[in-house]
Amino acid sequence: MAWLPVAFFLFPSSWSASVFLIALATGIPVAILTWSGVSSVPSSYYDIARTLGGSQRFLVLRVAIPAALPHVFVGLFMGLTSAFVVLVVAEMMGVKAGLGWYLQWAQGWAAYGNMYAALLVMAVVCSSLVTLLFKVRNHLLSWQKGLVRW
Amino acid sequence: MVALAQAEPAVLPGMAVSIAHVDHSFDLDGQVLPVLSDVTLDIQPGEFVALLGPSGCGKSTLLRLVAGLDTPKSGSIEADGLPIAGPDPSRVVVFQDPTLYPWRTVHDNVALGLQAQGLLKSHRHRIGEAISLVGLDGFAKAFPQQLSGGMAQRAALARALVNDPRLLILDEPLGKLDSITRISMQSELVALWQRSNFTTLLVTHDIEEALFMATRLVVFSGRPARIKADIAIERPYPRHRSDPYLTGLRHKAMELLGLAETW
Ligand SMILES: Nc1ncnc2c1ncn2[C@@H]1O[C@H](COP(=O)(O)OP(=O)(O)OP(=O)(O)O)[C@@H](O)[C@H]1O
Ligand SMILES: [Mg+2]
Repeated sequence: MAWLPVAFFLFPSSWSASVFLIALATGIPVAILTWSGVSSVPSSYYDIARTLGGSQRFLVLRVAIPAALPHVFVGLFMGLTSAFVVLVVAEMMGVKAGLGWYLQWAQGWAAYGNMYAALLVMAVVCSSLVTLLFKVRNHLLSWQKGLVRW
Repeated sequence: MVALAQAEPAVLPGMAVSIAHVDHSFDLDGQVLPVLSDVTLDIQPGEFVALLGPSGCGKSTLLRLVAGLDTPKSGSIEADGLPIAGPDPSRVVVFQDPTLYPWRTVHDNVALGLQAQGLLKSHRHRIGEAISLVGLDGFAKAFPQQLSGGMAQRAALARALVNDPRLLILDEPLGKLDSITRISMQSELVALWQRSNFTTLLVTHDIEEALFMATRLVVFSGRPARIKADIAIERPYPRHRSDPYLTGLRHKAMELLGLAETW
């Protein structure tokens, strides 16, 4: 949220400013958790692949990425929700379109029914995106079945 | 059980390993921790060498050097007369921990080496053979977290054997097995080693296991590990645990490890 004024200052149009904010809001958690995921891969995983003749490419594609995938998904979930929040706030602040803007507008006209409807739409959109992401994750990480999962 | 060796009689001889004056140490918190001290060991093709020594003396470190995962601080290690520059699938390690990839099934874990070397198409049949060799038929589709500790260790053994190694490096591969499975796996490993021609380097904590399996017993001192004794075990197979020759050697090994008073 602290980035908001900076973003609107740096980017002349509010559209590009909100794109920047969303990229920031998703990119940072995804990048940090991907990085921490890759660096937490036990070195013994690499030792195994190396002694069996795995190339550098094999180590990245067949060891590092699958081993870090659970972390990447945590980052994606955090990124998705914070992107949504940032989007709505950006719309409230400047962008003349979207649900956040509609929320402001409806409130301004004291059209509370419309406002709550907009909130409901927001909640549904957000949760269905999260559900979709869950589906993708459950498919890719099906091997975790039976393990402790968050 | 014998399918693997009979289907493809090993043509390549075992690997000769020559370890000469190897010293190794680690940096622990700014301090130098000497781990191996002037280790010299010549291993002939096809030998079965057991390494015995106190916990933490440096046995696993020596195995990592032979595998090519680390380079010694000084001294040289040669495989068939050529210096070891890095890991190679002809020298396969079964580590102390099974370290199976949790996202792969048993079948796909065993397939790892063939996949890494691009041999999956031509050697696919070996995967099933290796899995049944270690008695995991019916578990090919299971994930590692669905296996018991002993089964995971056997899967790790299959993952090594599928590559038809010329040097098999075993770091307490039977340590996690119950005593019944352990005793039968000891015979299985010896039989496998006799049918194939690979050289075997086995680290174990179990003196009886070493004497039952190996052709040669190397005893290390505490850290930094130096070779205290190098004993030939001149006994044909199959061996018998009650063999007085072996019990005699067992007494000798216990003495070398400072355990004589427990005899
Ligand atoms: N990567 C490392 N960094 C620092 N010290 C290490 C490292 N690996 C091993 N050591 C140290 O080297 C010593 C020997 O370790 P090693 O694993 O070779 O022992 P070991 O003989 O295999 O013992 P055990 O029988 O208990 O498995 C230990 O004191 C250990 O703390
Ligand atoms: Mg060890």
